[in-house]
This record gives sequence, structure tokens and C-alpha cells, in this order.
Amino acid sequence: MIPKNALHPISPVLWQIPKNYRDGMRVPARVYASETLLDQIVSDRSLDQLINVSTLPGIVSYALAMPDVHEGYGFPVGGVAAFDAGDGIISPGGIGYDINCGVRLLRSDAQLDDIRSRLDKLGSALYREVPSGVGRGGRLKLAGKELDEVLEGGAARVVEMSFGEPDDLDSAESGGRLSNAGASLVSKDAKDRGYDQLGTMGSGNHFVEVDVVERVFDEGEAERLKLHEGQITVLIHTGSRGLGHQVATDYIRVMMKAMKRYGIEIPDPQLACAPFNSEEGQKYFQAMSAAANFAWGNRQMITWEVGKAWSEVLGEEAGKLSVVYDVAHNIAKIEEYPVAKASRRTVVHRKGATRAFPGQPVIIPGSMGTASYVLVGNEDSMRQSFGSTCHGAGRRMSRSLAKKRVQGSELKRRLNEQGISVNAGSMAGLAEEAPEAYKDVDEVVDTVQDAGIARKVARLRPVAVIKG
Amino acid sequence: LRSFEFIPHTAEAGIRVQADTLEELYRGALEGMAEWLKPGLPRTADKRERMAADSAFQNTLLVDFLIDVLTRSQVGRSVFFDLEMHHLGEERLECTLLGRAVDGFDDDIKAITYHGAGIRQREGCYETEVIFDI
Repeated sequence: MIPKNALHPISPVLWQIPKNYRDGMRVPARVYASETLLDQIVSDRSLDQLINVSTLPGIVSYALAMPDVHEGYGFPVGGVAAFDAGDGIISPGGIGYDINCGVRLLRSDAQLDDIRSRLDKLGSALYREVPSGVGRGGRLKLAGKELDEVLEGGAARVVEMSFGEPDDLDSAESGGRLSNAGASLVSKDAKDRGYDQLGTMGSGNHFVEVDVVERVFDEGEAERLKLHEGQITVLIHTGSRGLGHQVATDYIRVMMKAMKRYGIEIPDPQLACAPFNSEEGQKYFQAMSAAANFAWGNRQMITWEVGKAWSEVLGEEAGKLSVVYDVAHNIAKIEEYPVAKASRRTVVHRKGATRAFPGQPVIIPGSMGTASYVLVGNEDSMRQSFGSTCHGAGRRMSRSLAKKRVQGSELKRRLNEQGISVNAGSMAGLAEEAPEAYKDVDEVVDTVQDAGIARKVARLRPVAVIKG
Repeated sequence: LRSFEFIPHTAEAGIRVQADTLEELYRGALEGMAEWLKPGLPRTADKRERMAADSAFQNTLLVDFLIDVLTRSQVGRSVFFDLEMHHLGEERLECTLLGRAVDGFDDDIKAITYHGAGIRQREGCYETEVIFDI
């Protein structure tokens, strides 16, 4: 593990490991963190993994870790790296298995007081309508041309299938669709795994959550996003399910073989990569984009399911749900940034990080017992962090330790006492996601605000949690 | 002889497997994965599937094998807990998997990672650690 004294302060919330710290580093490694968060970050192998990222061919400026960073495999979770689109690489491990795992925030016209007495009922209806858990399929079974249309059409195709409104697409990163997607480059195994998974949440840290806007920090931005204190919102966190996992698996193998041919040497096989402009790199980029579209389609379908439960329980008077924004946490994008006074076309890898373009809403899910945030990106994100910011609270405790320390039934009782209704398929799964297993989301968000890459708009407090 | 144990990881899960032969190491890793997906599943097989796995590197064959088994498990809703090894080379193996059809899994494994992949020999024993993305 990297000792704290290896990090040099650039500002009170930005630290750097110099390029000469370890052989093979092509650029420095940087981490956004307060002193408290840094103490947590150096307690696992996040920064060792970040240093490994800094050794990859074509990396531009620095490898970045956000304040919610934690140990992953290959790349750390909470990592951002930009590679030159001309002579750099693309690495499936730098995006992760759950391609376009992300969040979508919906706003309502209802206030907490309007629905408080029906929260338990709403939670049960959401649990029923949004299939969750390991291997539980959804209401749609898609194969052949129908599945390919979602892989290439993303959320827009799901809206065309009458699961949502065209307006839903206006408020999503990339409009909920990457146009370079290639359905033909997604394997049969991946398509078989995705056959019944559109509109399903999955398990682990995925959830649907009903929140109340507890505090507004920026009245102007809140008004623009039509958010106000006391308002009920719904947060959806899921991704591309088994289909995306299989795409990543398939192409990591392809790259493992290709690296020999391109003479690429890496410190960890999970960093397997190929030149972005190689046949392997381009095929992966198109397959990844198809999986990302599946994820946007998935969140679109779940939006429809949430709306169904909402209307069933609350009726017409609670009004409609509308999309505030939808962002990806695990993705690669071609973006241009100023580097050494020139514009540089890069392939930005975000693994457990969120795009934070100036003025763009950023949704930060916290843990189920604390809070989530709505931020907006700042101009400075383009100069400092490849238009990126954090993606959540960030784990600090292993799932096995969380299960040892927290009993699922006890946690449920505690959350109920806090006024949070809980519907979960597994008490052990609930315990793994206990609030104490995560870093302090307030401190994470304050760090990115202090760094100037994003600013706080609103804090959301959970009132009903639905988990697989 | 073989044994496996689950090992902690900040966000994921892993297994450490030890065995006195390479073949037993593969069998132990398979058992560990089965135990994660469906703890306590009776070890009487109602499915037999012949498979081959290839690897780009000799030290990643076990991971490639588990990846292929996981895909079969996910697509075919099955848990495989034992094997009959027909050929075990440095970069290729052939075997018959033994397992059972299941309605679903108790815990998910999204993917098997190559992170830190490799097999070590220690005091006449083979050992490996495999990280699951869960």
C-alpha cells in the first residue's frame, strides 16, 4: 500500500504522487481528498492500482482518483484516466464489468407530507414492479432484432416501445444513446444473458430509492432543475446487467491476446488493453457503446415501472414523474481537453466516476441511511479533471466485514426508526450495503466542491429503499 | 486434497484455493464458485457438460476456465461443483463439468477478474486467489 507521505499536497483537497515514484509511471497520479478521506484511501490498495493506471500507453496529464475512490481490480473504483485518441489505448477494465452502471433521478410534483402515510405501500409496489435480485427476469424477453434495436437505440428505442415519454430523453447523458454502438459486436453469450434483463435492477449496490429534497444549496440551479425542499424524488441505480458483464469479459480476453501482438506490457492482467485505433480497440468501443445503450434502455424501462407503481399507489393527484437527469458511472467517451495549451482528443475512461461538464447535473447516490446529492459540474472540471467528478460515497468496508458487524434485520429496524421504509430481497444483501460500510458522502461532496470541479445544488434524504 | 476460503475485498469478493495437485486446485476453485453462487447445494449432479478452455497466458488458464464456467452457469441457470479432467495443459484444458440446474442463485457473480491472476507453489502445495466482481 502507498504510504501517506508519498503524496504531495497541491491544495488542501488535491494530492499528487510524482511520476518518479515508481518505475514505469508515464504521468503522475492525483487524488482528490480531504485529510480524513485520504487516511481512509491509503488504507487499501486504491493508490497502488492508480499508479498501475499511470503506466498505460498514451495516458494524458495524470491518472486521477476521486474522493470516493476505493480498491477495485485493475483500475480503482473512482478512477478517471484520459488516453490520447491517436496513440493511446482503450481498456475494458478501465470501464468495468457493469458498463454504464449509472443513476437516473426522477422528480415528482408531490411533497413528503402528501405521501408520508402511503410510503410503505409505495415501497412494496416498487419492489413488486421493478424486478430485482439475482437472476430474476423482467417482463420483456428480447432476442434477435428486438434486442439489437435496444443495443443500438438505447433509451430512445425503449421509449418507441411505449415505455416512457420522448421528454425523458432530453435529460440524459448523450441523450441516453451512443450512436457508434455495434450490436453485431456483442456476443451471443452476452445477448443470452441480457434476454430477460431489460427493466431489472439486479443485486449488490443497485437500488431504487424514494427521497425527499432535504436542503437546497443553490436556489438558481435548483429552480432550473425544478427541485425544491420537501419535494419527493426517485433515484434509480443500475446498469447493463449480465449483458454488459459479458461484453467486458469477452473483450478483456480479446485484449489479453492482442497485447502480445502490440507489444504492450502491463503490471496487472486486469488492465488488458489495445490501441484505441486498432481493430480490437474499435470493436470493443462499439460493443461497449451497445452495452451502454442497453443500460440506458434498462433505466428507461425501470422509469416506466416506477411510474406504474407510483400511479397505482398514489393515483392521479400525485402527478407525473419527470427525469431530472441520467448519468453514467462506468463508461469510455471521446472528449477533447486543453492539454499544454492545445486541444487534445482523448478517450476518457470513467470507472466509478461521473461526467461533470459545466452546468450539467450530477447525481451522487450516497448510502441508504444517509443522503444523496444533486450537483452541477463547474468550468474547472474541464481544466482539472477531464470533465469528471465523484460517483457516490465510496465503500470503506468489505462486504464480508459489513455482514459480520451488521445484522440485516437490525439494520432494517434502525432504518425504519429513521423513517425509511425498506423492501429488500435479502437481509444479508441489505447488511452489505449498511451506511457504515461507506465513506461520509457529505465529506466526499464537500471535497469536490472545495476542489472547484462541481458544486452542490441539493441534498436528498431517503424515505423508502428498494433493494434486490 | 484441496481447500478454499472466501477472502475479503473492499467492494468485491474473492477466494483463496489450496491443493496438492493442479487438477485439485481447479476442482477447489470450481467448488468455491459453486458455494458462492448457491451455498449448500446438494452435490449430486443432474447435468454433465463437456467443455474446453483456452488462455492467452499459462498463468491465467484457471481464470479463463472459471469465466467459461460462469457464463455457462448464467446462461444455462446451472451450478457446476465438480469436474472430470481429460486434459490439463499450460494454456488449454478439456474437462466434463458436473452440476445441477437451479432456479436462481443466492449470490451473484457478475464476472471473474484477472486481477492478480496466477498460481503459486508453496511447500509442495498449489495456491491461487481469484477476485469475483459481485
